[in-house]
Amino acid sequence: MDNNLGRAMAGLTTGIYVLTTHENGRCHGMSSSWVAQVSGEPVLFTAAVDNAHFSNGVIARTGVFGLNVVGRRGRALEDYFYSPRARRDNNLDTIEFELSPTLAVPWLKLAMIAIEARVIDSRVAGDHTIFVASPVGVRVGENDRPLTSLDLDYVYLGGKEVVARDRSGWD
Amino acid sequence: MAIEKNELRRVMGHFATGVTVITSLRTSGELHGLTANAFTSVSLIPPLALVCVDKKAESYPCFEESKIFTVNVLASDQEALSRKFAVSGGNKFEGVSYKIGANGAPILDGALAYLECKVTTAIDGGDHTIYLGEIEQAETSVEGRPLLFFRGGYREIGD
Repeated sequence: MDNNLGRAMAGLTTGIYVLTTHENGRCHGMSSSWVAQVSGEPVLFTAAVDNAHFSNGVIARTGVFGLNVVGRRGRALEDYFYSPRARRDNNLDTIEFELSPTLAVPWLKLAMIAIEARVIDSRVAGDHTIFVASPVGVRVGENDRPLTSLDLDYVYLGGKEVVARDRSGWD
Repeated sequence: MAIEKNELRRVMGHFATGVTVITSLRTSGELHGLTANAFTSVSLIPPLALVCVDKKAESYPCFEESKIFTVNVLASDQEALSRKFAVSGGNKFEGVSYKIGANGAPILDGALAYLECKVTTAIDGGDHTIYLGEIEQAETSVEGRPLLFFRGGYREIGD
């Protein structure tokens, strides 16, 4: 990636989420930050998922996914899902979760907010797919400050590109 | 089980975001800008980003006409600029320092970074349209902390 583009993309602030899937009894979670609300009426949001990622195919097949908002007290979730330990199928076996009431997607216990969502549209966009989703159920946990990309020492730029967070000029 | 609408709005307010001003122009050359936090990266190869634009926004026709937009990432001291571009009507660029970028859209002085995009795809998304843009040029302009928005208010790192 061009250096200027990399620095500019690293300057975008995002929330930190765990996107979860469930298929044939196998549950999976992935760290996700490329998420945005799309519409207020009806409420819709998008999540961009790497075309090469395991979750992409599961979402395409099942048409549903969970989005778990990570707060400061749930930081362990990001630490786990970013780590090599989570890079495997069925990676929720060490994480406390429940299946959501309507769509049976994983809601993580440590998440401050959990959403179950149905995909209403999708487009392949470069190396990711944009899933446009409609929330059908939510679980609101204990109030917390949402974790943001600025809290992390690394910045995900897509693919296998991760760079160190540059905090110069933040004084 | 249907979700109560107000509860859903409150929940969606927990999406923590940066704050951007998206600038563009009409075919007449008239400059436009709007504050947006519904913005995210989409792809690395090719570099793509998306922005969601309210169909009722005054600036909405720009995206169909010029097919370009520039994302200005606001710094923590630019809350007033965010508020200025969040309202409809008037000349939003009055009193605002900017330069015109390669794509013809304004680049705001003091923004942390900017990304010049060419619209490649428009996707209907309820009361907004999702515009996918190929990033043609991007630069960081100044160093500093970004302006944040969540739970209906402006925040700074550490809040």
